[in-house]
Amino acid sequence: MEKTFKRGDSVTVHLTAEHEIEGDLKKHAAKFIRRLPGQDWAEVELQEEHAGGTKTLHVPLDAIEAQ
Amino acid sequence: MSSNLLVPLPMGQDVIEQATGTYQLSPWIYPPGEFWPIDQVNYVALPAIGANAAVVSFQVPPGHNGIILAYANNFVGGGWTEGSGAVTWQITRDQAAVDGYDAIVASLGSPASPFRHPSGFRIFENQVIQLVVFNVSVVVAGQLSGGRLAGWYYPKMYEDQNITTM
Repeated sequence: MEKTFKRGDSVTVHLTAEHEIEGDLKKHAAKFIRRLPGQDWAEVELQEEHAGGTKTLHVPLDAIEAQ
Repeated sequence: MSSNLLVPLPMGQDVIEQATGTYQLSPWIYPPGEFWPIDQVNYVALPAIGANAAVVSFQVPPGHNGIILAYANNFVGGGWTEGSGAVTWQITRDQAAVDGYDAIVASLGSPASPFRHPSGFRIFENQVIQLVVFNVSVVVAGQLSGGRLAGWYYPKMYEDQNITTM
């Protein structure tokens, strides 16, 4: 079943500590912002800032689950 | 027709002779016979978030200046949309952004079909010219960024001697 989220939904994003999709995955708390048009990707806002200086990430839908 | 007033050169490049003097055709508009084509194409893996990577990089050879008339940058894979700013590009001369190309938020064309600028931008002897991709916030999952810069070099002897290097 296709994942559907609304803006502001609390979600968990499964990424490595460096925010990659392969490796030792960890849970990152985030808010769902939007699905990217025509893609199985979404924009989320992490609870904690990424090392690269951003809280907003574009991540695959597969890496997101509802909290 | 645009032309520069220059001292006539002995090797007989294209000139216009008028009653007011001899005018050399601008070598960045009309390539002289000794022109040397530029066509640099490359793809790189999308760098990590917060990092950048040179997609295309080359140095203008000694004794030459040049003009870049066509360029392209694109994104292959998921996670980026036009204008989002999640990935940006920059075109630089010696690591300084060319005016207007500091934080490009769009794909300006695919390397297979680069955008042809009406006037282009000039490049100068020994400058390092780069197209750089910066990953602001896209999780890396095998994406690529491509780029292309095309134009020509010409010998500096055809240059307007009063030109200020940008």
